[in-house]
Amino acid sequence: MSQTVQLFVTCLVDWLRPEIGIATVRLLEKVGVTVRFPEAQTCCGQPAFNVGRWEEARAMAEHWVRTFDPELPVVVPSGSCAAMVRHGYHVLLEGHPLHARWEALAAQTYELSQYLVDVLRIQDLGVRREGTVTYHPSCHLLRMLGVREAPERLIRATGAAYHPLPEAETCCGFGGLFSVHFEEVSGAMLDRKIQAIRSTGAEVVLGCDWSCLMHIGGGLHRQGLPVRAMHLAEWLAEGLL
Amino acid sequence: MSIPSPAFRSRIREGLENATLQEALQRAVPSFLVSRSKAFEDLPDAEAVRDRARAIRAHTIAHLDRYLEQFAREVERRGGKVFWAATAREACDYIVNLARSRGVAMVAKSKSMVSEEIGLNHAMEAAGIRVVETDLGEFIIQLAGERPSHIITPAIHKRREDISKLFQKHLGMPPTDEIPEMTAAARRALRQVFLDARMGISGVNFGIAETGTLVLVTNEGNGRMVTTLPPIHVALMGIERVVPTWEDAEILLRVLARSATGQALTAYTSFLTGPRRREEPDGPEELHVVLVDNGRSRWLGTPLEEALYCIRCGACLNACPVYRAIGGHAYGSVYPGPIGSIVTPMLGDGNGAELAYASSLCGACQEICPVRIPIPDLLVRWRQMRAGSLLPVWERIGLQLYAHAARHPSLWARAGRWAMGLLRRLGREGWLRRGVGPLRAWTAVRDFPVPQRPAFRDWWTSRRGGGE
Amino acid sequence: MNHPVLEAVRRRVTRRAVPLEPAPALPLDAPPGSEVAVQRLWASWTGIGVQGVRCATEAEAIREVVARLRERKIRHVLTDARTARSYPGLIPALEDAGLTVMGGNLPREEGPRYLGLGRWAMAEAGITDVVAAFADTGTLWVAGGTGGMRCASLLPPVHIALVRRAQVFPCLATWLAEARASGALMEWVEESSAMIAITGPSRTSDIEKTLTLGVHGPKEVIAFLIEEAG
Repeated sequence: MSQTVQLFVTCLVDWLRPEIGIATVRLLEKVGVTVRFPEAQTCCGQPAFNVGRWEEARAMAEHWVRTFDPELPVVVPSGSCAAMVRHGYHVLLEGHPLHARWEALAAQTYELSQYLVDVLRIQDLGVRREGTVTYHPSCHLLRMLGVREAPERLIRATGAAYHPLPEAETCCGFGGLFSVHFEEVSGAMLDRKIQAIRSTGAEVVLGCDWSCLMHIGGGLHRQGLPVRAMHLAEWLAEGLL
Repeated sequence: MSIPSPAFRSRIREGLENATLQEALQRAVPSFLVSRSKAFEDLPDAEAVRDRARAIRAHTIAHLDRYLEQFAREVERRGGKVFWAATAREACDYIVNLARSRGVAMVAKSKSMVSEEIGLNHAMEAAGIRVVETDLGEFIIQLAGERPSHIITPAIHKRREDISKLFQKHLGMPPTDEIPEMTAAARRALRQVFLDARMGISGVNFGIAETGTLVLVTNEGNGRMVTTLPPIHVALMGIERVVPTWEDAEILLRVLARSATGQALTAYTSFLTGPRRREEPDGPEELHVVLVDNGRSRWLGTPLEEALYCIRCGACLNACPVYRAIGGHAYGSVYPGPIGSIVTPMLGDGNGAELAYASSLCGACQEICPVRIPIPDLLVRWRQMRAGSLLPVWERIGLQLYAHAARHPSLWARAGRWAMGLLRRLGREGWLRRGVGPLRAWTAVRDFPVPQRPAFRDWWTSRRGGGE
Repeated sequence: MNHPVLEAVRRRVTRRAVPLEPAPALPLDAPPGSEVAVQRLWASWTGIGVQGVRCATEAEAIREVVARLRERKIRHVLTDARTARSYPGLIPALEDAGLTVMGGNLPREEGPRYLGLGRWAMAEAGITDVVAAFADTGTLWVAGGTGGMRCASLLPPVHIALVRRAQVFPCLATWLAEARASGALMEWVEESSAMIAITGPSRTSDIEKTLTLGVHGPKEVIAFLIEEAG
């Protein structure tokens, strides 16, 4: 397979959890994809967009659209940031000179699991894993990108025991700046998510958005629970044969 | 300014700490979601019905003037009186004056969100007219001197013990734990109210333009009582509730009850056209339709217009994890939950824009909405309109600096490395347990994972420079 | 027509063309009176708590009605002129059974109207015919209009409805289509202040989401399905 893709690693992964970016590169290369990393990339602007600072968000959107090459697919290890590019920019760049360039990019911007399973049609990455895992579908991945099955298929192909999460599609309570504006509500939602995770008996809860996982993992750690929150890419890369 | 405001924060705390409310929400909401899903599974072509329902609402709102005018004309042609109320005050004044001129001492009222919105009960009571809520849930709330906490099940936060005590005190009911006995006590008390009241006030689910017909759904039958027994029927209707034809109303009815209660159809769906005719054995002698604007028309032709598609089914409340965590009262509005957070600041004096921030933007509301209102998008629109005044100054400055750095990659890289270095020094064993500044609120409820290695971009550079 | 509210609306509406989505499938597609429709009606009644009784003839139905009233020791029955017209044998049979039949028109003046309602409120059962029944939801479609009493299906704790097989429509949408085409819809609208879709007994779940019947309207709905044409 001689695909070349551009990695949009996302600001959160770049700075706070580089392991996910590294894992993403390894996985993509494993299946024969050439990865490029446009180094001028920064942040998609979602935090500013979602709190209503659209001027700042638009500036970041412009930068993003200029940074990536509209001739190549973009792969993102985050459902939320991919959704921002696909949907948020639609609003921000309406009538903008960069709109056409954005359209070309948005049409081929994919979240990682979506790219692997729905575009490349690969489920078995040659990854073998043991242990018990569950999976939390982050909201934007699920509802804005419509990615429901791809991550589960990748998990099931590894041989690990997969225990589905009850009420999986309920938000974990992260929600960007919501998590600090309404920390008590965010915490209450997190408690419910943690209860659901515990009920599965899984040792690891997987997801496709470090933002939500950072929140879930932070809650698990605060409560002293021996469950790890891991990004799917990292977990898969650890099991590469 | 802060988000949330201190008042909102304290209402949220009350909701989170109210064990009764929490228990009720945990019990009631999941079972509702199950019956709602089942009801839609049983509806043939359900997704196409939703598309059609949405198209009907969109078309009506796009041509609202035409349909409102037709509706008003048809109501009057069949003997009803139409009053146009630009404000809450005008609507209340009209009804109070009408009641006074007819010597009405007591009014029987069925559920009407608009009446709550315009503060009708207060205006009536101030004029010395007794108003009795006849929906069982609303009746309980009225006896308790509270406000509804849910559009469809207003007393969802009350336990049977609370209700038993209220009925013992106000209705003289003997002590009991049996719900049917409580319901029977309410039936007896309210039956007399229906018979004695000289005015009935109801809301309106849909107004059919082509015939001036009011469509009203009620499970208990109180909606039928107040529109049938008292000699005067006053119907309160938001101007957006109109639909062009009977066939359109039928489509909307296919999704309304399924979304609201998980029923295929509500027990009673009334199609009311004008007051009692000459040859009819019964029915109200007078019909007054009060069309309430109260800010709605301001939003026509704006991106928020879609909020006017809402058919008030309440499904988005049940789907919302924030609503399920804090309950309806925390919103401090007649219209709680996701759609309420959009609608509240659209109406009246426009207060409550901060509600738009009380959402994680998870999208469960949009997914469940029978007319597919893009609720998260509209919440973000509100944030965009009000961020200038609502966001705390340090956050605004922070975002400006962040955005500036994001457009200057070398500055971005330097600033990032500096900030991560700082974080790593503050963390212990990979975690930050008590943060300061922007991380204070984060660590109030969870730990913060600090990075364990240099940034991805640095790994990439080093890898290109000479292997991993 | 002119009013500031309407003016404000006029100034702001977009008047944009909204593509009308194609009409979705009917909730149930079957010919009126067909066995499919009747079977479904029956199932729907069971689901919503309507007690269905099948009768071959009108005479049998009337006998059954009287039997049910006796079982419940009912003495006062509320019914209307239209039902009496549709089922000429009904009132004589009720009276023969010693029941007090209440009906007529409510006076329009306030005092007598109030007293009349009070009397009607004493009835322990109400009997009505229907305009139609809808199989998909088990709905009884009743109406006001000339001689059509709104209270008979509302005030008493028991509502008895008489339905003929030919009146069984698959769903409201089908009835609407037919009534629109025949002009009946507009006739109903002109003559009748109310058409009511009754889908089961009065119900509430307002206390602890526990279903309780008969909170304001009838606790029992008994529907007689009559094979014989009228």
